[in-house]
Amino acid sequence: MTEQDLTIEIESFLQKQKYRIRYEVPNMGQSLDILASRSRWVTAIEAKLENWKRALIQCRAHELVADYICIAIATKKVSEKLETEIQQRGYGLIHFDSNNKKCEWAIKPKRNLKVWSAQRKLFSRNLRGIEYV
Amino acid sequence: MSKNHWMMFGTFNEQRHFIYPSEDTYEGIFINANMAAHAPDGIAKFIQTKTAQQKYIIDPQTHAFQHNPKHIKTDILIKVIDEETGKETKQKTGEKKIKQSIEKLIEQYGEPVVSVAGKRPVTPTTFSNNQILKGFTDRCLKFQRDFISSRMVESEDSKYTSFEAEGEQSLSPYALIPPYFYMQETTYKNWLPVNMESIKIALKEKSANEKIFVMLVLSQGILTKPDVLKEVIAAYQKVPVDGYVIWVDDLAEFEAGSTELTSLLDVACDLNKKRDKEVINLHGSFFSVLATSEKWKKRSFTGVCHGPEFGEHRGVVPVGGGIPIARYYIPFLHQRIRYREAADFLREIGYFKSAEIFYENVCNCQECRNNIQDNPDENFILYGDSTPKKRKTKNGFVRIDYPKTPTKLHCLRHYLQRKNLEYKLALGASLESIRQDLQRGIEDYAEILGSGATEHLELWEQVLFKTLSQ
Repeated sequence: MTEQDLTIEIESFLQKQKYRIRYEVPNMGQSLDILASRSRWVTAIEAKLENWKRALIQCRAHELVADYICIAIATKKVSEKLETEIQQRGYGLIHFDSNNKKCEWAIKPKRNLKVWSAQRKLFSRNLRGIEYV
Repeated sequence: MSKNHWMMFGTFNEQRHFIYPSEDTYEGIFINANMAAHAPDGIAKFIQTKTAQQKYIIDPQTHAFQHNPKHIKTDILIKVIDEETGKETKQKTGEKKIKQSIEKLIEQYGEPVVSVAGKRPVTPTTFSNNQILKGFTDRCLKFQRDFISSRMVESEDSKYTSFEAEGEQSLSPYALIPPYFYMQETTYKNWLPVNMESIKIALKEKSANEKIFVMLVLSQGILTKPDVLKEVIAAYQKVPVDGYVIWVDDLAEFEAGSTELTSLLDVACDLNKKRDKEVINLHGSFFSVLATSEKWKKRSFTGVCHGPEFGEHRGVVPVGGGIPIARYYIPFLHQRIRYREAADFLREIGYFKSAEIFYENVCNCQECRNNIQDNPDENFILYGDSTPKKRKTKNGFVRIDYPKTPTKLHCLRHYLQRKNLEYKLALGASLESIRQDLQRGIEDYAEILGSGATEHLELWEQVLFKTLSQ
């Protein structure tokens, strides 16, 4: 499985839950893998096959603009360490189970209260030019 | 004017920054010889109209011919018309040619570079015949002496400047630099005699009122080898020149260890033992700027150069530019930080809570006052506003945030304002104030960013006080 395969699985998983999807959304000099929007809420998702530590670092910048932040991984099992890290930060975790080829919410994200409204406005303005899939 | 403040000319787009914050901010400017050879009229006009009050020195860049020739070459492009859209684009042919500006410089320098440039590097044996080195040195000095100043004399702008009243001499560069070559631990034995010989030739050839500055370009490796360094410095101490320009390959002072930083200062001190020379660090940051204070017991650097926004450290062999990223200079860290990181932690600390808190703890320069006004939380985004653009990568297209032109300008003006204050601090402040400035960064940021982010300040304080106070 490639990272691209994983994002396609996540896209389908989230679309079933009425999310609208954008890929590769720039945010403050970084590129956010998936941005899922539902009503006025936006969820930033970093998809990784293995290196979830890097995803945690990337998510830090998303805290300034996204209402919910998630990491998506494709592993056989979710490690306890990852679960702890995710819960401490209030992030969500989407797990693609490579055995039964299904995505599921391993941890639902909590609402991010650190959004910086001025930066969020810039982010929203720049989103207008980026099409949904 | 801060007599320790030098700026490096990069591109014509940057001209207006050489009179910012004010016309008299900079003591002098360095101009790369290839730029001077390529656009002499433009450079002459720039000097006459923008920097008439400042000194200028032309860096002859002779080291460019000793590296792999690929570094002085560029891709040959051909125009291709897209059959579907009819749009004209440029495509690489796979062939390379010598960069136009270097080609023009080669015309001026003549042999031996004419014969070898682009094919193979010059080596110490290229100059083993003293007549070859003499001819090369003469032409290199003549180029610096005349190429730009003759354009200035012919220029329409000459009548608007004060040069005429002061006589033609003031049109000339402040100092001439003999040909020089980069020295590493493995190559210095062979290059040192060439460098020394070209200096001796220049000293013989110069006229009575001309100053000779020598360029000392060293690898970081040499800084960590006391025996090698001693040998090199001893040679340079023997030549009766007026000044030295030091460039250590890609030495980022905020990342360097104590050995490199101590050696850097030792080199400057050893060359300036009698406190009668000018010693300029060609690419330095706040560490070197602090060393220019005349209050230290030992005299080291008398000036430090940087570029507008870039150039506090630079590799001898050029590297590509990369993707532009908005960066904000954090005054008490004395470092440019990515906008997203700067915004994140300044907000986290609480410095965006009010304009008063921001001005007291982050920056109160004129540029920040203009931008931040009474609301840092709302207005700090001016240092990071960007436009997403698609960029082709090996994995397809990605969208990347490109800073807008006003964003780049805000970041740059803030940086230049802070640099101006730093150079003035170094000249005017007591050593205790210097210590307090460095401590302030540690106190403010170590807790929130971790000690790794402030350890350079601690190291700078230790090295400066240990090396220059004893």
